[in-house]
Amino acid sequence: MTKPVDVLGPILLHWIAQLDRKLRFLDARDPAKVLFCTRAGKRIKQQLDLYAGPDLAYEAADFGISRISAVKAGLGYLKDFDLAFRVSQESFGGTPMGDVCAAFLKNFAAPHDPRLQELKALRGEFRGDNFRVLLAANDEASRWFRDYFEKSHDALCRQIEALKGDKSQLVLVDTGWKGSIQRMLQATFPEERFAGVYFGVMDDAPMAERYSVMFDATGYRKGHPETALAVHRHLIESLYEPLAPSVEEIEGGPCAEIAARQMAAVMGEDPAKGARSDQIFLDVLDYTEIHRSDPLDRIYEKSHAAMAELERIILFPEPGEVADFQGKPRSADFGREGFVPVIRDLDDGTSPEMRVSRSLWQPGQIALEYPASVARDFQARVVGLGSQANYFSGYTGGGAEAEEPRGEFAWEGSVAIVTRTKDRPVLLERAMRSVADQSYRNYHWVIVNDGGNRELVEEIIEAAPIDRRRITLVSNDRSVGMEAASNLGVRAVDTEFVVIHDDDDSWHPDFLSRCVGFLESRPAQSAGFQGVLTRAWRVSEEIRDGEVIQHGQTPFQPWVNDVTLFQMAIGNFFAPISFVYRRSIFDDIGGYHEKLPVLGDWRFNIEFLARANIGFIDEYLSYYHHRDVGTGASVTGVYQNSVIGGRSVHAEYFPVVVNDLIRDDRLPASVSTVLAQAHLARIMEHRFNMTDGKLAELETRLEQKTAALVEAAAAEEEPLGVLLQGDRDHLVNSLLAAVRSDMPEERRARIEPLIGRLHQLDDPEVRAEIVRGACFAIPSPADFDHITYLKRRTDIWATPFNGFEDLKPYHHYLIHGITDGERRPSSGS
Amino acid sequence: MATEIATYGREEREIYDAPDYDSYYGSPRTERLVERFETLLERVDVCSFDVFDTVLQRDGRSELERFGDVAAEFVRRAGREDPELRLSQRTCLSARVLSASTAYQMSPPVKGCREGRFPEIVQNLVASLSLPGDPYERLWREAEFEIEAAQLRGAPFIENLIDLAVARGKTVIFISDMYLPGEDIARLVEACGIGTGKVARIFSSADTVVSKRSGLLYDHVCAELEVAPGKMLHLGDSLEGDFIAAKRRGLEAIHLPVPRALMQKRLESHRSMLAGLAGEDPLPLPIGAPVL
Ligand SMILES: [Mg+2]
Repeated sequence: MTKPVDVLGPILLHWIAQLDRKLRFLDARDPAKVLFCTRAGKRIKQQLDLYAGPDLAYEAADFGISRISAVKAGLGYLKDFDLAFRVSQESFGGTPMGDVCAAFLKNFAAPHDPRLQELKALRGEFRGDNFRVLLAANDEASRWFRDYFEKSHDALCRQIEALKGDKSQLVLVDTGWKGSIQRMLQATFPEERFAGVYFGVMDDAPMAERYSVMFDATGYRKGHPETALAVHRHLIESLYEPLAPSVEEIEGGPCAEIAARQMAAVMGEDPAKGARSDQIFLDVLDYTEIHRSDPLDRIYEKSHAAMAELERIILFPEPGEVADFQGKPRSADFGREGFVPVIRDLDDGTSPEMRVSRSLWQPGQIALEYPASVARDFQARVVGLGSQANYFSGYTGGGAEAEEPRGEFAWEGSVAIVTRTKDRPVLLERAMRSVADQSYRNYHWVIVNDGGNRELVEEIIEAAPIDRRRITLVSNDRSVGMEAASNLGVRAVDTEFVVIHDDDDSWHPDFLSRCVGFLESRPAQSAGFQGVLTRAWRVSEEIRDGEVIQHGQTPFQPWVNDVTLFQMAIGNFFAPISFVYRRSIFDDIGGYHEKLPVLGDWRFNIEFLARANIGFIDEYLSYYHHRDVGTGASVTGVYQNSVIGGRSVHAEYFPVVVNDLIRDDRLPASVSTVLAQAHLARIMEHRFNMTDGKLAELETRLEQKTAALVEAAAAEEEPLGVLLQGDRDHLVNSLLAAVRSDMPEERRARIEPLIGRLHQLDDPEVRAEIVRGACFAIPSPADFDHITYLKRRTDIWATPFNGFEDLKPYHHYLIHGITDGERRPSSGS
Repeated sequence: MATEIATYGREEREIYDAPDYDSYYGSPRTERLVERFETLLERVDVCSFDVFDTVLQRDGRSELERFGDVAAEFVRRAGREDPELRLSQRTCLSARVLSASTAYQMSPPVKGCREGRFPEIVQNLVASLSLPGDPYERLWREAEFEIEAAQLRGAPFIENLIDLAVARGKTVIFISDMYLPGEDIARLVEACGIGTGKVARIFSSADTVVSKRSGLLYDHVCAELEVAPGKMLHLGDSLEGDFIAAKRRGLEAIHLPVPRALMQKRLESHRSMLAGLAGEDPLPLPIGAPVL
């Protein structure tokens, strides 16, 4: 059997060689200090020293950092609250606030410190808004808590400055995945420049200066063996993880001694004292030393070969391989202790499914849980390879040998885009952009100028950012009608697929690529899909002074989820812009029925469905435009939609189409049956529509009534922007009571002159003067919900209104809130 | 009732279908192309040309094969410098490709564009061969320049178009999406026997980082030359970079594709190079194959 180092040695040597090259590159561009981040940085540096010799080409240092210490620095002065909170939340999940506080303070607070006890007593949820309020609060425990973060921040700031020296950037080295430490440091210390070089990156969110060496993917991608590591990144984490806990405190910070001790433990760890995966790391070091002088092409080649084997092992391990490749139990970080096993114990009393779902390496767990015949399919599914038969029959690895790419003008996959137009250059220009913006390139654009001004069309073609070899113009000196124009266009070129893109419609740039991809996919072919429909937006617009003005868009026929002959027989429910189909069916039908002035596409669709299936892509990839707003030429002239402009003609031709179809002996008899049933369905629908109409009418009337009631109720509600009667009474009573009470002379002297102005409380300036002058005498009324007020007014957290001295959120409400139009937050109401 | 069918892109198709450059550009069929060029030229003040595979034509060798030739030449020169050196062509070629890929990955994007720069690539590749920068960076640069120059050929037909544009009083410029800085491109053009005296400026994405492909290089050029996009005509072989992007930016443009047969040869060259590089295992260097 393969020894782990035979596979991992070449791969990890390649990684370290590449790392060295990339660090040299960054340093050459901008002098850099390279920081090997604890904990993995310790072992990475150890291996790099073996590879490159102790004198690296760039300046390097060990950097005691962890996610939790970066979070602590980010929380100081709320420098990077949002991200620090998000990262904490990922680790703490549903932990109560008090336990989160304790985890942050675990090295700092004496267990019986009353302030710690006070914080621990917070049993509420750990949420961003609560946490922020806690960090801004002014009780002693909160201040103490805040102080810890501020000191942590200051210490890290000093440390980073010292590390940087005269260099212009700091380059972090770590195993990677999200690079959240880099992200946090960059946000906390925006004046510094951070970059990061990582074994792998697994994150969709983009980030400047974050570089992966081996892979950048959030999951396994077939044909990219290295992305198998995204399925089992713990293997790499485990190899580079020292036998010491993470460095949670910051050098020179509030727990400087502990920080030093934690750092020393990491740097002094001895892999030889560890278990299996630490032994593998030592083997990798030996491999590195032996092969360090191999030429880089040899290193690269061997790594690539080993990667194919590792891909197989990670995705489809055999039971005997699991122990070697599972890595050691993952140690908890982020202020918590303990270990999480990678592979779950088979007799832990739960079910195999449960164990697989909790396993850190699912294919590994599956290998142990199920017999080989079942395991393989299951493993394929958990890594997203699907369960197609070809994965049972034998995984061959690699897969990089894709099929021979098609030529750019290949017939296979080619699409004819037929655009019928007549004297609507404004619209044609937009249709041209829609075609030009397609990410799919193997199309041929056929413009059928149906009796319009040819020069206008030619001008648009000349300006088009479209490969000229893909353009054909069919020009009729007189109009031949919609359906005949379509047929001329479709027949002008030879392609595998066809779509009618009228001059007034448009597409999402991925429309063609998604539709052709669908029609060529194996499942679509086996289901007999010869056409495909996507969802469409219905765009409402008008044309004014030669410009298109859009008035909004709504989903077009959102109830459509599939395409059946029966539904089509009831009536047409999609526009040509959303429908791509195979030319062979067009040929079989004989094209669009040229004698029909309207409803030609409906008839075509019924004939199509009598022969083949139409698939459905549940994405809004097309835009069906209607000029249904405005007046004059925009709605009734050349710009009219045939559907809107010719409604009565539709009614006239409806029976013609149905009768013709029933008599058409080229169609199977069942089509007639379907049409007959559809007729009944239409009658029913008509009646339902009538009933619906009546109901809607009733509903409107009811709504009007309700609206009147609501309005009346609102009138009775508290008005905004003025001092409420309750608060007025509270102010007057508080001041009068204060004057009558015992109080220092100096305070009485401040209140007395204000008493005479209490009748002017409605004047915001006078009110402000009174409240400021006498705030010590105005308590917060019991029903004023200051927590809600603070949540709403985050701007006053760090101001005197948040409880310094005598000012309270209530006073802010009286002085500013009322004039700002704030609603008075009342508890118990 | 009469129906007329007009197909566009005839010249483009003829070049594309030709077995090589000469059998099209040496034929009388170019008349239509010249006619179109002159029509468009009349409308503009500036006439711009792509460099590689337009002004300077490449042959049937793929980029990978060319780098292989450069690597072999470097090994020879390095051996003269230090007879003790044990370098293989395969190692040097791998270093060239891997460093280019690193330079591309790690160059800071400008408005979303990246471009690796040649001096940085050479510096990194020499370092990854564990050789001192002096003299080996210079040796590599010289080897690469000489191989490039030897494998490029000035296109007489395009030179005629340049002369035509100059004669009509137009400003002629070159614009290239390339890792070589403008001055190196100028030296290559000269080395291929085309005088750069008639060329007002050479723009390279290695200098500007923004590229033709993104369209941003055209904006940059128009701003530098203080010319409206509609007053500039651009010619080049890349459909995306030289034609579509230029049109999108409002320029007049002519697409002069590389003959398909030539691209086919380059693809074969790329594949046979890769096959030849395989040792015990394949060596799948991160370098794109020519696209047909
Ligand atoms: Mg070119």
